[in-house]
Amino acid sequence: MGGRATGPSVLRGLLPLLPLLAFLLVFFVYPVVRVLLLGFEPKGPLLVHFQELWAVPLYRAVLLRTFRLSLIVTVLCLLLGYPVAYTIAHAPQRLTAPLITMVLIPFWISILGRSFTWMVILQRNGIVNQLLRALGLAHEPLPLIYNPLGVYIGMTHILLPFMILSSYSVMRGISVSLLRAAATLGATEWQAFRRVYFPLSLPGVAAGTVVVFVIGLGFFITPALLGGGHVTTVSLLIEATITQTFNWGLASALAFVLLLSALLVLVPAIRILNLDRMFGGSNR
Amino acid sequence: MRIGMTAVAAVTLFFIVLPIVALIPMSFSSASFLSFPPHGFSLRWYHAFFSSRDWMEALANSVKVAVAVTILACVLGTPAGMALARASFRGKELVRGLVLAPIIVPVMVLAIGFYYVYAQYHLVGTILALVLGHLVIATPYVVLNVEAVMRTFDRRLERAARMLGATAWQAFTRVVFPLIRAGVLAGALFALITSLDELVIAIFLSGTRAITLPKLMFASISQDELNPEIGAIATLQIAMSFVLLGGSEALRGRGFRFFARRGDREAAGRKDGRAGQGGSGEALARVGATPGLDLHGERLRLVNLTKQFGSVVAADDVSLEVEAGEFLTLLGPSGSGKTTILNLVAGFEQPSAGEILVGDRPLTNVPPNRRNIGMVFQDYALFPHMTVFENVAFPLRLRRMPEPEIRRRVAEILEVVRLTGYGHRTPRQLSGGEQQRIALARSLVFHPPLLLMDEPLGALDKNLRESMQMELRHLHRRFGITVLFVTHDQEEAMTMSDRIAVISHGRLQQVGRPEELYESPANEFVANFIGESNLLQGVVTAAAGARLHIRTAGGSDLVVAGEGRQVGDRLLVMMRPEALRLSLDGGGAESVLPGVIEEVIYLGGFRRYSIRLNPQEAVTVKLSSPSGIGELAPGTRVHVVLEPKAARVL
Repeated sequence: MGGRATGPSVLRGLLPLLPLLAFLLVFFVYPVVRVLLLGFEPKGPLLVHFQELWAVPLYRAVLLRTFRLSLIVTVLCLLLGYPVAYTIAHAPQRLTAPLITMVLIPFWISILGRSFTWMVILQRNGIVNQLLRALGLAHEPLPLIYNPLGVYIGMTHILLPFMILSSYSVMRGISVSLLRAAATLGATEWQAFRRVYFPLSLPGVAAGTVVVFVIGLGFFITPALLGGGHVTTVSLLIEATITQTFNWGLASALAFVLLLSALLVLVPAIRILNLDRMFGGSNR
Repeated sequence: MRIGMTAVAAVTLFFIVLPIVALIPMSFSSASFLSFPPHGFSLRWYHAFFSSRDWMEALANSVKVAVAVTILACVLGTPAGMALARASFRGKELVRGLVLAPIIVPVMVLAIGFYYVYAQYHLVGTILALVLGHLVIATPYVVLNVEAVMRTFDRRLERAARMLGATAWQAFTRVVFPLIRAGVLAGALFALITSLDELVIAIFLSGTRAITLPKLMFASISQDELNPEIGAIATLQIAMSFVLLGGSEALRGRGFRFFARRGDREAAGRKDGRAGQGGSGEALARVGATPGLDLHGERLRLVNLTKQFGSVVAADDVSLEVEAGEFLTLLGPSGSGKTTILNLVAGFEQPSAGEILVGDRPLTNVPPNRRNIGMVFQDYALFPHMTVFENVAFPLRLRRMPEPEIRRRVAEILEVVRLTGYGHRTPRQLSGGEQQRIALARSLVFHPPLLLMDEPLGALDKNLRESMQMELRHLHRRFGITVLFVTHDQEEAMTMSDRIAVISHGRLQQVGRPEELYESPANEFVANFIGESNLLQGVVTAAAGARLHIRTAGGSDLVVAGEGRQVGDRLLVMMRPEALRLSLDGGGAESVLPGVIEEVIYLGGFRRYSIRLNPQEAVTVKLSSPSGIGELAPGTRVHVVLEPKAARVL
């Protein structure tokens, strides 16, 4: 009840956590720390792999491209996801469950399956190209995959549900009477949205933005398949470095930079993140 | 603006479902390439998948890994999720961060870490390595889901089970787990899907011997881009997702019903309130006709009871006796310590010092389930996953009573609370008043000698609350059980109690019959808390013949009955507003305070006058209307007439 637990009850509170903590220390923390340490050379110049990352234009380009890719996808998710969340939050109640289900269904299909499906849809003779030609909008099949465009489409599709669910869970809690109050105080529909609704919806939007950006940084499957070798992300580079050149030092330095970037975005945002909104029971 | 939003939303939703709509028909195409619209209908690609040894082996590996991961994730994650939702310890946020970190760390970083370490132990290419790797990323989902349901779990349900006789383990298996099962299953589903779909870790750990389905799909796509077999597999994945989603929907239905229930309950409560107005007379008549129950009260004694939380003293040396069969109310504002005392008696808290006895039985170190005390909780704490019958039978089943006896007892107590025939209903189908009566039935059915009630009427609307007050009082009179009732509502306390114990800041202020508290409050707190009162500070200017002459701080002179005070003593004069009168001339009375009417409020049966005596002091006078002195407008000069015996000095 009142007051924090003290003494032996702290142990009793921690006891159910101990097996999981022990497991994570051995099978999660230890491997990650071990591999990240490979990025530093204790005998030679300590930061030689990091210097290499910065000095070789190819590596620098991959890092920058990964950030740009994730940023563009985040903006796309924001522009497309906000209206969906808003519409679901304000739809008649009988439509809420079907609409949420529409958002969730692709969530349940593997990233691999979805990326493959987009390859089929966007290929030279795929539905989209057939449609464009039938409508007379294009005479030649457009190159929609094996380039950044295909990766944007695939990643946006995969990350959209995170943005929608995060925004929706906050919007659902915004009382309609606040907007009515704004109207009685002289606000137009747009002003009420701009000055009341939008600021109140920001926590969900911000959490969704952070999560989408961070997950986007680590993407591997979608750029590998839809990029067709023309879109290299940090994760792809790490995989290639290990499986093709066996350069663990460089791969670890890349992994270090990737993890650090994710943490630099996440840690300041940790307060607004509510992971169970996105991964917790009531949302799925 | 809304139209624009809706238009974008429609296009986006189309974009979201497009892959599924497009892929499924294509997978049934008979052509040897994937295109839209499909050419003819055939199952050749499904057949190709199921008849390929490589694919089947990969599928078997994936299923093996996923099942093992799901079981282990639940075993590790369920206790952890419960602990995170409940326990409070330093560094909890850090622990939570560590537990959830695998979701956030880019999976490529994890994959190469596992690869590097497992290669040294020659584990690459084994099912074990895949299970360990997937377990790291799957377990956080179980933790999150269990933590989420656990936070919405009302802890009073567990306490209710303990009070009804369940051991900690019985309370967990019969009440806690059934109610959080949906969360555990949702987490398990997450873990299963996470493992089945995982590719990046598998690329590194499956080697050549433990190839999983996603790894083989990836390899196949990389070689032969649009292999139609993959279309069939992806469609099967979608089908599996639908089946699992359907399953989870069925589970989540509980969640939806849980939310819907609030609205239902409010609606039902309103309906019941209306019925309560006309129905209470009939209700009371019927209580009189119920069979006699084998109930008898026992005396409750609190001896120098003290409870400290850190530096906060929630109960400070409380000594109190509740006679056998007595209805005693602990009355105090929120935070006064009344609920702490109740929790000490119930056994949810251990006293820092002092003792509790029921009859001659000391309760110290007796767990709640062995105390044999009935308790009605504020929100009733009915178990939502059990019917009314199962709720009421719960304490009897724990006491291993034979089933026919249980049925007889439940029927008997349901008749007492006038809910015969409600046994098959679930708590959410009941109105607020009905839930209240079931909670009462459940706490009486095992014939406890003492009943604790923690603001049991707080959630009911006014009319229903008043009729329930009368009903409770009649039940108490009839069955003679000892009742310790907790409320912050002084009217409720006065209506129901034989005696009231007023408590503030963890200390008993006064214990007595309602009229004693009202007429002779022991101190300023009681005077203010029970009824309305005028309190004036003053100094004794003369004392003679059971009369005290007092000059108030604002300079008014008055005479009150009182003895044993010396000239110069500082004291507090208390006058109830209805004990004062008003007079225009003030002639003839022993003690008169001249003043000016500031405000008159009409309250139906009476009027309330605020009279300014001097710049520092004002008193309130309540006169029944008509008062006999006509309409008095604000600004009128009047005299407040004080009969010496109408005032008390504190």
